[in-house]
Amino acid sequence: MTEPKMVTCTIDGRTVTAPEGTLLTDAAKMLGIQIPIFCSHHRLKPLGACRICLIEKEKTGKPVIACAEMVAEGAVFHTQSEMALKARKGIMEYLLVNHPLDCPICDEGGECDLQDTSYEHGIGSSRFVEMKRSFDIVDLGPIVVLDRNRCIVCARCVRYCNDIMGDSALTIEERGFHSQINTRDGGELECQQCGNCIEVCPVGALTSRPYRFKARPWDLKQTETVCNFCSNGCTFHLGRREGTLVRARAKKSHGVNRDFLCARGRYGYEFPTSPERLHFPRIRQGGSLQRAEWSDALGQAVRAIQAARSAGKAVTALASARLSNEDLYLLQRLVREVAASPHLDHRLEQRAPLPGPLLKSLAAFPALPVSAIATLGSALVFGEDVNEEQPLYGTSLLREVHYRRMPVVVAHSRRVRLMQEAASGLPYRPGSELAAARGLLKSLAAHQGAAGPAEEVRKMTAGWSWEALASGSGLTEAQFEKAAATLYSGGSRAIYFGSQALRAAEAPDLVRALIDMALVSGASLVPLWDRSNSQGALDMGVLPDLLPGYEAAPAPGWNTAEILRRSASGEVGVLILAGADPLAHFPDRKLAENALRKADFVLSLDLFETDASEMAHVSLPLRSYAESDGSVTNSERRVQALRSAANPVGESEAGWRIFERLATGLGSAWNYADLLALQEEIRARVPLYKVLGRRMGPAATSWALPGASLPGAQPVGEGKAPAAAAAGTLRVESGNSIFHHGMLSQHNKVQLKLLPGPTLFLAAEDAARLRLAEGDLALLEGPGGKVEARVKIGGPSGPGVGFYPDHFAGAEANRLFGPESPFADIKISTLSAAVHS
Amino acid sequence: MVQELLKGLGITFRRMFNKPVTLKYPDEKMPMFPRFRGRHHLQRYDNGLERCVGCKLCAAACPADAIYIESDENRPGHRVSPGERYASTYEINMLRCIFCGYCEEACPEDAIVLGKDYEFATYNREAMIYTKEQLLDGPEKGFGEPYIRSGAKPPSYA
Ligand code: SF4
Ligand code: SF4
Ligand code: SF4
Ligand code: FES
Repeated sequence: MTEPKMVTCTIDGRTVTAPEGTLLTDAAKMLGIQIPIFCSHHRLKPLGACRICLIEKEKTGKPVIACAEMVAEGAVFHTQSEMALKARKGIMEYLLVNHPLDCPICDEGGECDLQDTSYEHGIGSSRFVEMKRSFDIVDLGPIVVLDRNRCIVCARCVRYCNDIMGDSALTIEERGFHSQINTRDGGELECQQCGNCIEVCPVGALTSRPYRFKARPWDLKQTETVCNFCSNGCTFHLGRREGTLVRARAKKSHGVNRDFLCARGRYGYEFPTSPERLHFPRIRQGGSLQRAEWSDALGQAVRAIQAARSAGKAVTALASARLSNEDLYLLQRLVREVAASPHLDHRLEQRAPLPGPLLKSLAAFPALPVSAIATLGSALVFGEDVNEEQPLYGTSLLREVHYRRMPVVVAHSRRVRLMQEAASGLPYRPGSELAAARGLLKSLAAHQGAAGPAEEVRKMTAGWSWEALASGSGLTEAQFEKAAATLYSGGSRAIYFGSQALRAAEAPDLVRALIDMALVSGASLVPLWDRSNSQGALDMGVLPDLLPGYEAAPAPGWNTAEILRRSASGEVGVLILAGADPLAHFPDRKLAENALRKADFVLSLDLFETDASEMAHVSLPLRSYAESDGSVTNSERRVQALRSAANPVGESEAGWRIFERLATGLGSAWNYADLLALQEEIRARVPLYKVLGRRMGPAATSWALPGASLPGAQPVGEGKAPAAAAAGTLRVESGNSIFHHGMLSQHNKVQLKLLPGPTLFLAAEDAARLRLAEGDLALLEGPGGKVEARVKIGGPSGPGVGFYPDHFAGAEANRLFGPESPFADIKISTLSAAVHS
Repeated sequence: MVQELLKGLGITFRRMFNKPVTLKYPDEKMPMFPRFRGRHHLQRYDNGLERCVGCKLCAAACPADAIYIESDENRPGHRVSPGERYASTYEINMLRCIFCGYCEEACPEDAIVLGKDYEFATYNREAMIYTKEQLLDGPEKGFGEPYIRSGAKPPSYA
């Protein structure tokens, strides 16, 4: 990349040197000078709608708007001159012409840009005596409340919704004095309900329905911590009032996300303080779980582990990838060192979990921060509906597509949002990820020079026939060529892949193909894992074949499927479920049920009653992320601090404390004074994590594998082409919807308003073919069984491919899909038609 | 010795004809100074609507953390205050209150004012937490001009 030209100018008598094209508001910030802004926003293009940022530019004789003015060599600006102050006072008076004086009522009061700026720059009284505009206050759905009286028509909300979220749910109607905000059709908002419009609104015109009048900013105890849902690792501030969490809010100076949050992050704060949480340890007595003392429950678990060891039976563990690094590290030590067993895993959903060496190869690629998307030349997103599953990445990519037509290739089985706007799409047939990846790899290799991995890959791919790849994936050679050309049209490139690729039946070969693509095209390779701490679980070695820090395990253990299979055949003495529920997440539900029934002893640690916890012999209440201190690692490999924002529920305990007590019960001399002591040990034992600890803040950096060099070209195997969908059925896939994440969000009331229960999304033409209408209750029959679901048209479905989000107990996707593939042909019949009023 | 006794009795007899300086509380009560601050009142508008909008500024200003408020939204058919917001719970813990009057100072709606009453004695602590029902002036107190401490001008709500 070429170094940008530096420009020096003077602001308030002090000189600042900034890259050419820097906006004056940003240059002033470098000097610590605050220029008030309303319509300008760091993610949006300058607009210049509100004019509050007027400052004086010497030699022009008139004020200029700092949010759109760029630094210029030798220019001299004054932010506090008489002209600047007078201009701002005037604008302030204009902005307040229609703005009501109802700060005491307004939820924004106390953290309102208009309030602050008016306090600083306003004249304290108004010369206008005319009537103010007046509108009714309206609810725009379950999330957003619109009070047009307070709107200053800065258009931030409209532009954010359109440019960043890609929803265009808001518009400005009328012109001039009559301008007003409305939804596209005047009804409720039809969008991702992310609430970012509320966040960017500089006044209280858009406020949050769930938070409405619950608290005022000054009586909230706000704690900065990290979202527990997807692996983007957004930082937010959880606000607690009277022991209840009442809101989550991102701040623009904090975290990888700055002020962005998705719907589940913003409204996912309820489950930690849900009344359904488990409060006490329970022990199985006479067929049911009864409340017990901690010492008794732990004692039983200790005796069970001892019994298993003396009987020569395996001690195994499955962990949730939402647990903190500290929890996962100690679990891994407990199983490996104290129980002397190599059998543990955290990957429940993956049909073909990646082998250790492959994970190590992935870790050898340097980390790429999400902020790098702003300067990327081009990107490939493979097997991931980024906007639905990893919204921070999705919206960051969408922004670049909108603002500078960044060349993006999207490969997915459904025409996902980003694909609709991307320069090139590879809509492969469900289940043909590998064929699509091989086709793209072949095209990419054909374009590249003769030396190094490119040469090897070209040799390997030369023999692959286009016919087979095309018929296997449902794509054409021309499509692959176009995708390759698109990816090559940018300078720096990155390849992202996610859950669809990782859950594919041929995931290891697919990931090898992706590594080859990255090597051939010189791109960064970024896996977007499923859960908030999936990355940490890999780093901490909660894997059968890798120790912490990607060291190969001397004797590899069993992975999830193997653990469950062995358990079902009676070989497992103890199965520890650390926040993991294989019944809900493992593709083969029957096997998981058998495994839990046949294991001699099942120890479950969880937040809520789950199907698995109710089958356990001992169930322990775990603390949620909101009550825990610790750290989690996001897909950028950034190790971020979790801070407890709420009081622990009941007698719940942190995972690492439970593991410590189990270990001491088993005779180990573990003794961690506090979390810092544990973190110190992790720092010493896992060199990657030297960043972990006391000073770990929002500016934490990503780790890099010490001494790693890029892996060599990987051999890519051939996949099976999926059969065509059976007649009269719909091919359906599963995954996370934008409104939920995993099984935790079903305890959040707001999220249940957004997606209330089991739902089948399908395209309009498929609905017509299958005689289904929006809102119908349908019976879905698949290879795994039957579930009932509401029909919804559109959403993350594609023509010929339905989508069944997997979030609801009693209707988990594994009850519907068979264990073989992450998609299935589903027979759909209407149970009762929707009542249309 | 006799001399001292007579001297003392002399004072006693002289004072017998003076007016007493004490009051026969509770039958008699001392008039309060205009700026005396006693127990709080929540006031209403002419039309009976509560002035308080539940903004919690008083609670924020209170140095003794004596005020607890929960707010809710006015709904059609259930209007409590002007605007959208009202205090669904308003409690003052009179055991904590130091009668500084900051709440009154902070209130943008002239809703909370400190009155003249000072008789709080009771048998239990719970009774010292005054609820909204106790604080809110009812029709018997008369609505209208808000009570404003001497010197300040009442704002006009046109
Ligand atoms: S609603 Fe808020 S963000 Fe939208 S135009 Fe009005 S003031 Fe700006
Ligand atoms: S779910 Fe993911 S994108 Fe949404 S707020 Fe949480 S971390 Fe960010
Ligand atoms: S008078 Fe002072 S101490 Fe008492 S409630 Fe008001 S602000 Fe608090
Ligand atoms: S912030 Fe510069 S014109 Fe609005």
